[in-house]
Amino acid sequence: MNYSIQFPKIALRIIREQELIIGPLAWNEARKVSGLQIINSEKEEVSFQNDDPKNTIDKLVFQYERIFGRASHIACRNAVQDLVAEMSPDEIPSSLK
Amino acid sequence: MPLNDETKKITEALYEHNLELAVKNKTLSLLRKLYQVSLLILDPITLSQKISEAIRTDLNFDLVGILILDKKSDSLVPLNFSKSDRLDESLREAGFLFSDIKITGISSRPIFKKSVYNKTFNLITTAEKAWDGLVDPKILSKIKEDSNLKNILLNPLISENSMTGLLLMGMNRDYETLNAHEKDSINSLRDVVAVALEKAYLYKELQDANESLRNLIKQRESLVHLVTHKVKGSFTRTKYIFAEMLEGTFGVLSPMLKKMADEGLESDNQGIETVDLVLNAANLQTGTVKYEMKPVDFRKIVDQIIKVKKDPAESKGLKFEVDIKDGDYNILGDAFWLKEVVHNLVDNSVKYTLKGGLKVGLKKEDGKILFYVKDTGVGITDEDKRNLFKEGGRGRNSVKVNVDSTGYGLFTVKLIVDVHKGRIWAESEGENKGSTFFVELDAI
Repeated sequence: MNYSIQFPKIALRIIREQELIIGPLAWNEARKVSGLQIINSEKEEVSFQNDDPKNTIDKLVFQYERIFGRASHIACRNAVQDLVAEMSPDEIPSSLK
Repeated sequence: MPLNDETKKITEALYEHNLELAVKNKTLSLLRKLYQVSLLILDPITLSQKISEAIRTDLNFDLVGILILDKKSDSLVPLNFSKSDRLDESLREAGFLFSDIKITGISSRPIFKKSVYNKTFNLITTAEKAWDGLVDPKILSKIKEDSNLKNILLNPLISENSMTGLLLMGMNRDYETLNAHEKDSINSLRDVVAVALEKAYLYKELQDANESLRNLIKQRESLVHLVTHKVKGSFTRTKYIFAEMLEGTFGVLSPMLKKMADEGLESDNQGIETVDLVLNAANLQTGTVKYEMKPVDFRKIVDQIIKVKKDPAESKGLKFEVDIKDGDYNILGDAFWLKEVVHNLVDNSVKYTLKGGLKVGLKKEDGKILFYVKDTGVGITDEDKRNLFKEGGRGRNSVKVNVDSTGYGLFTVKLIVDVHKGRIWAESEGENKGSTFFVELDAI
């Protein structure tokens, strides 16, 4: 499993899912997450700026949960079930378990 | 700025409302996609491929399959299965495809019996429960290990109260984690899928029926051609014998023999004419006639027929009137076949008028030319009007006057007028009250 591809995919999926619910605000909130760089929201390109993408994903999920509550956390988790299924348990960010 | 409790509650409530709308939006978008697919694709197998793929990718399922119920064999026959890449890879390694496995003995499989015969939604937790007894347990175990299938949903596909098949959806989540809107969305899919499949199967039946009909028509055409050519050949041979007899080739004929030879020749000529009529009708119907559409002076055609038919009509004691208004009667058409139209209508009028007379008319109005033949003949009943221009349609009165009436003359005329994009119709006040036949064509 190439996690350098998987984690950005997970982050993108979460942001897109949130975009369906809260609109462009999803990208604005994602920009506030340290360690996550939005290269181009129109082309939907993201990258990780640190060596702990797992933690960055958790921060992204909590960024939404902080404002929008538990429902947004569940929405994040449900959005990436198929992607997470391909990962070993220790690689899965805790917020998505 | 941190949110205070009240604002947070409102924000969270708004989010949940938006979540519900987002789910509905997603469902509507998928339903619209399925609807479009069902409009464009009518082959059941291709349709089921597109439908299962759309549902799987839009809802992030691992597996979506469509199976059709075969009541006779009490089994579910797979039409198509769409799988995630991961599941597909795993199955290929195992040398197994869901689409190869017919699920037999439905009545004795409680899981499927509930969905199929009780027509209710059902949920199973593993692939083993679905394909148990049909697939090697080792393969099923591998699928369980490799796949992320947590739940398999079985949705009956019902159309007009009868069971068509099953929509099978393999989820990577527990069904119970779905909110009410998501569950509703999944349920809403089955009706669209059921209707789309029903339409596709109906279309297939129509196509098959069309093909059978086409074959039957081809066989009939061959038969008509064979019979008419054989019969025509037969008439032609005896016609020449009678003609030679009358020429004196076999010696001088007694008056009685001459009369018989005359009658024989006349009968053979009529026979040949009848066969040609039937053959023409068949060729016109199948489109094997090639029309030469050119500018034609329709008045010239009418004048030619009047010249040929006036004397025979008057010698029958009928009055023959002509009412052709001045004007330019050029139309686009095939002169040979248009002559056939005019000849047939005037000839019919002469044949079916025992006393009184007929009038042949031609006029031009509003860019159209109108040709008509009006007579004081046998007339047309309302019942006969219905079959007038149909193949083999013969009026009761016309048969009394002309027992050799074939019912192909007017049918042929209508075919020709239709090809010329014209109109033909008849008016009559009823039995023995005469009739008028009209032909309308576009002038150029």
